[in-house]
Amino acid sequence: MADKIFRVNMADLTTSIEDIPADWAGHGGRGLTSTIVSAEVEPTCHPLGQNNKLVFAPGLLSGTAAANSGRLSIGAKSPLTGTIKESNSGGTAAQLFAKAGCKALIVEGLPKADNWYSLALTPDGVTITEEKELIGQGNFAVVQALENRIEGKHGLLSIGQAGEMRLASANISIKDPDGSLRSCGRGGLGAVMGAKKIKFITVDPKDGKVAIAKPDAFKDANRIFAKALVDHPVSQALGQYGTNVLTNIINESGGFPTQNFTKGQFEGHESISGETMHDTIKERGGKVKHGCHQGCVIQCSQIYNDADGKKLTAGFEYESIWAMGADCCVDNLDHIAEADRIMDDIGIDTIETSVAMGVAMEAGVLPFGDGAGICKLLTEDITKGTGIGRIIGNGAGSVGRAFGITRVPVVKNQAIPAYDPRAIKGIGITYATSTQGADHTMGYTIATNILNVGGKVDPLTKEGQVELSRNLQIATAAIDSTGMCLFIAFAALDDEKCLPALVDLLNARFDLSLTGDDVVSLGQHILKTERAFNTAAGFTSADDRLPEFFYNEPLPPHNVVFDFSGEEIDTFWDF
Amino acid sequence: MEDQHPAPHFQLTVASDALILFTTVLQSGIELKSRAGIPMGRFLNELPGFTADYIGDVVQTIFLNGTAIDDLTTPLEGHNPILALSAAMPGLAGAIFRKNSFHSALRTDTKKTDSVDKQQGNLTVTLKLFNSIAQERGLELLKKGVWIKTKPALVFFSKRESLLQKINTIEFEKKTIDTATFLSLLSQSEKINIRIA
Repeated sequence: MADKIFRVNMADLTTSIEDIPADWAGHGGRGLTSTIVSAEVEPTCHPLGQNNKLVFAPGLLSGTAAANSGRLSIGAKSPLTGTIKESNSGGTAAQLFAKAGCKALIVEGLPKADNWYSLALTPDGVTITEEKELIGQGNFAVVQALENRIEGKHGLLSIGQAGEMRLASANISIKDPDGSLRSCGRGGLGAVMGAKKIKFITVDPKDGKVAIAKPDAFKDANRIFAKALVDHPVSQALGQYGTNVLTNIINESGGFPTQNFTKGQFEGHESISGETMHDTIKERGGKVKHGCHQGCVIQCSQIYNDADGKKLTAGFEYESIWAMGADCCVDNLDHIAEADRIMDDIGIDTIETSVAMGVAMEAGVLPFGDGAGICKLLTEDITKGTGIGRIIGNGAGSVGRAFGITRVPVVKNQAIPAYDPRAIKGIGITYATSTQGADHTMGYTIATNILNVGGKVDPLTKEGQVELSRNLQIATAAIDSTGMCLFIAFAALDDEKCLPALVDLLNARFDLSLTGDDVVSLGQHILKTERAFNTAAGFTSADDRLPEFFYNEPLPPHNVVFDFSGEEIDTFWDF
Repeated sequence: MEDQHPAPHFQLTVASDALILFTTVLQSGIELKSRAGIPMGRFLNELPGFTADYIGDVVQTIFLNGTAIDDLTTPLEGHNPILALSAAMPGLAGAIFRKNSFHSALRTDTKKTDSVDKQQGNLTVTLKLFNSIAQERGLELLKKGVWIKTKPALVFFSKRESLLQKINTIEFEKKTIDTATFLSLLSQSEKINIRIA
């Protein structure tokens, strides 16, 4: 089946299927969403207005049997940051989009009537249907209702109440193989979907399959690739403890942001650590290992049950646990899990919302450590859209502005995640220079040494450190285009066969002759494309900065500050 | 590593299938006496199961007083150094803190500039074992007996009440005691020696 571009115009409720422009053919995932947004969205447009477009794109390898290739990218101009945005997630949708022959779904315009709609995507096109029953409902109710309403297996993307209210932290949720939810969490893309009055999108590929140009070569490459992933010790740690394995380590380093980024260690960290979570899950009959998409061989997700053995939440990630835990000083894992479940249901980013809670706690809205209070605030205020609920639901920056708080950990108005840049300065460079606001996944660890982008300058100098961060972001942007989970990074870093096998997978899928250099070129192109959009939207190097307090408030216990000057950070873009 | 603490000793006999769950208590740290200035690698070598290969291949992340360490000849000195061991960790931060990592250049320099007290004789090291290191090497330590602070131990047992039911017997001063007495005694001391088998 030849891939096509599926387009939906919500202004006149029409749909079309188009051939892929030559310039877009080599892209997938983040590379494609950013290329389309750059080509078709006016950079100065209002993110919730008629000129913004919401773009969905599976990765280049999604829909194939390639291990860990089930990430779906969603892009638009972000209502949270005002920059270009790509957020990706697991779940079943990426595989099904690809099998339906959809290289990208572009949703444009705003409906004229005050009605809500759903979209149903099949290989034949997209059907728009008015939706009434599920408006005002949370994501779990949508999943349940559609299980009853639609026959057969289907992919599902939906927004909760946060998206309907167009809150800047609203996410887009994607159903996973077990009916749990994964989130394209960052940047408020759920608000863009809400502005377009789309409550949910179903994907049914019928009997569609992804064509592989060289099946035998693909199979061989996948065998090598999957083995490298399975054998790597980080994969094994992720499978046993999930990403929350990081809590003890980052706390030990003094880089575990605590009490709204005033400390680097949290006294209650052992109560929320990955080790404690692992034991709790086993004791309560949950699942320690769980895949968020078909073909995942790492299985870093888990099912966390409550004290009565009933499923409370799934995909309980380090960054969420840190944010609701240490940053808000909550040491009760059950409260954090309950908050995680509520946020999944109302469809709001767990990082942004929890960091916003931390700022709200500093403002005196509720005391630090009040886990039950957080759950109540989520349920009674954010879900119902009260004044304080909307202030918090619009993110950490919103809370800071509303209450006159100066310690607001954001870059380009997006909350800084779980690694304090004063204690781990390399991540600070990524936060500052990311095209999409503070985001730890923008500069992951992708074999920069193997790709020969490991840096030519002494890495112990600031110039070398900026170069290393740049190269991490270049490599990450390329991987984000493949549909691969970023957790392939560690095997790609250490196993010399892994990254070549990934390139071989791409070559076998499309009958290409790519090399590692092409991967680097792709990553550079994506970063430059995104940067150009932001520049046209009015962003300057002055936006590539960490908040002032990171420079003048020493972080205990090491009492360190972030010490990269603006001029040093600006060298990031010298390529 | 000598046993010089004048503190209560407890011996717990636990259902075999639950033994591994007790290793999580090691995330809070155990106290070990050693010689001031001993190289970190040698200190670890003296622990059961910490062979050179295990330290080299599996122990991928080491913190000494909160600073990531690459060099196993680093001496343990000063007042109560805290050593934490982990397997390889995910994320950029995990890579940055990995031993001899390509990305270690992205660390913040957190080494203390003030001179460390170069004491002679013995010192007490707090050793924290995280994740798979605790599971793989913790049982041997627990069987041998470890010194732990009671405050985190009480938190540990309060968060895992079901673990108390997995304890078959608790011996204290050659007498068998129940779990309530055990918890009461824990709250009366700053640290204890505990053997779990």
